[in-house]
Amino acid sequence: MNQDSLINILSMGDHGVYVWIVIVVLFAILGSTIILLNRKIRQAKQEINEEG
Amino acid sequence: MDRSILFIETYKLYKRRRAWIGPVLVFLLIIISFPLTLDINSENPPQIYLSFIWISTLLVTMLGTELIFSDDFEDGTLEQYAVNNQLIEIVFYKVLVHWLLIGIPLAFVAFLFILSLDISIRISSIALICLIISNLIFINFFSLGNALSLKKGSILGLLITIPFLIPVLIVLGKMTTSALLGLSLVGHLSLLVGVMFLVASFIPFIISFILRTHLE
Amino acid sequence: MIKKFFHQFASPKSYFAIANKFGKPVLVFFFLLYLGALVWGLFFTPPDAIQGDSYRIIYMHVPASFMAQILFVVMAITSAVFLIWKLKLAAYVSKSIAPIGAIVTFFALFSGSIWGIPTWGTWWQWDARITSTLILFIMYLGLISLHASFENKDKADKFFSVLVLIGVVNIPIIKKSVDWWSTLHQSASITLTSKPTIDPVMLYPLMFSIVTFIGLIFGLVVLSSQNEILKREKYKSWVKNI
Repeated sequence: MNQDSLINILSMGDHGVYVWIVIVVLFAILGSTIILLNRKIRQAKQEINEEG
Repeated sequence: MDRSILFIETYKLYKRRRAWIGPVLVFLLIIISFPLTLDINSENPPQIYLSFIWISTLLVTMLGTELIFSDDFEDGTLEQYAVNNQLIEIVFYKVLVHWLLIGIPLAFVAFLFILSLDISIRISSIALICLIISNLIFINFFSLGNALSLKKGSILGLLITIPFLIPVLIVLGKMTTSALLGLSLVGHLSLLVGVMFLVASFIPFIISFILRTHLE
Repeated sequence: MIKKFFHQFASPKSYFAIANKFGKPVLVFFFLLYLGALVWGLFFTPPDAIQGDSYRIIYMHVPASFMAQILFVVMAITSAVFLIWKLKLAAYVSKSIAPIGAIVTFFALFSGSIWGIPTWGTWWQWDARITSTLILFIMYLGLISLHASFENKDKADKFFSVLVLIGVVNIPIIKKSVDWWSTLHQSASITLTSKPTIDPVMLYPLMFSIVTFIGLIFGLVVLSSQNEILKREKYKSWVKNI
């Protein structure tokens, strides 16, 4: 597979930009939710350990 | 069933004149400001006026029921009723009194406004009946919202109850179009009346459950 | 008997232990699977005959809109469990679903309107499904703000659960009435419902993406409920031994 066909596949024709916007937003939302929750859980555990 | 509670509730709301004259006056002011922003001489379809009336009565009934439980909650009256196991009755009567003193006057003010717009008597009287029925539904749901958001302000109550009232608004909108087309309204009206009885008999139980949780 | 079972095995403590052990691996597992479904759908299926490549948003939009409704039903079940058996854990799970549901519903709306730009030529259409999804989104936000407005969280749990149950009774009514309403508009010439029957080449990745997305979102719910448990049971003694 050469480079041109890879770019062709990734750009998905005329409307590829819409698909990519949705993908980026989906993973931004999912990623930030996971990171935020993880950080909150870690903070809560830390707080509990300090108190105990 | 203690009938004296009904009289006490009526008297209490009647004495707080601002609580029941206020919403009617606000409604009147909104109605006055509506033609001022829409150019009443141009040929606007009556649908616009009717949909405006549905939505503004929705909001004004919310204003009118804002303090339905908070005073009695603060001075301990509700707790008294809860101890006597009369919470459901008091909720039922409160809703009824608010309907009589706020809901029905609002419907008549709206009726006069619709008559003033050259809309036929048939359609305006249909609108009057619809408003009387739907105001009871609105007041029931808003009392629920206000019971949930007791002392938290009415924004929260509005936010959580308006989604439940959207079906009623859709029925009203459907009725408007069929009335303007001259179709039969028996089906719509009976649907509205059925919803009214269902709501008026179930919601007070949920409200009294919520109030009891508040009092715990 | 059921009550005893619940109190033994569904205490926040044992739930947290299980979630702490398996939650993250399961989340990562489904995340990777969903990624695989996306790669399959996005790059290894032919473009749609009518919509071209923009139809590929379906692999994100349909799972999200599906989950938006499923999450509300799950929330209603846990709320009912809480109200009937007074099970604390159910209330925590129920409460932690709400923000996830709001996020998923928001994404469903967002991806739908982006999809609308190339296919309908407009980002918003007052169509029955879009409108009822928007109402669902507002209901999630209302639930979150109701829970947040109470200092006394035990009370907040009760009100939250009552409202969820009223909501779940109302959602079908709202959907039906909105469907009925949208027949008012004769202009709905392009609707999602008139979509041609889907080809198996696209159907299989779609099914796969829906299934993996369900797993992914439930992984998120577990994570969020862990957070909620830690927040609410801060002062219990079992928390010290994590």
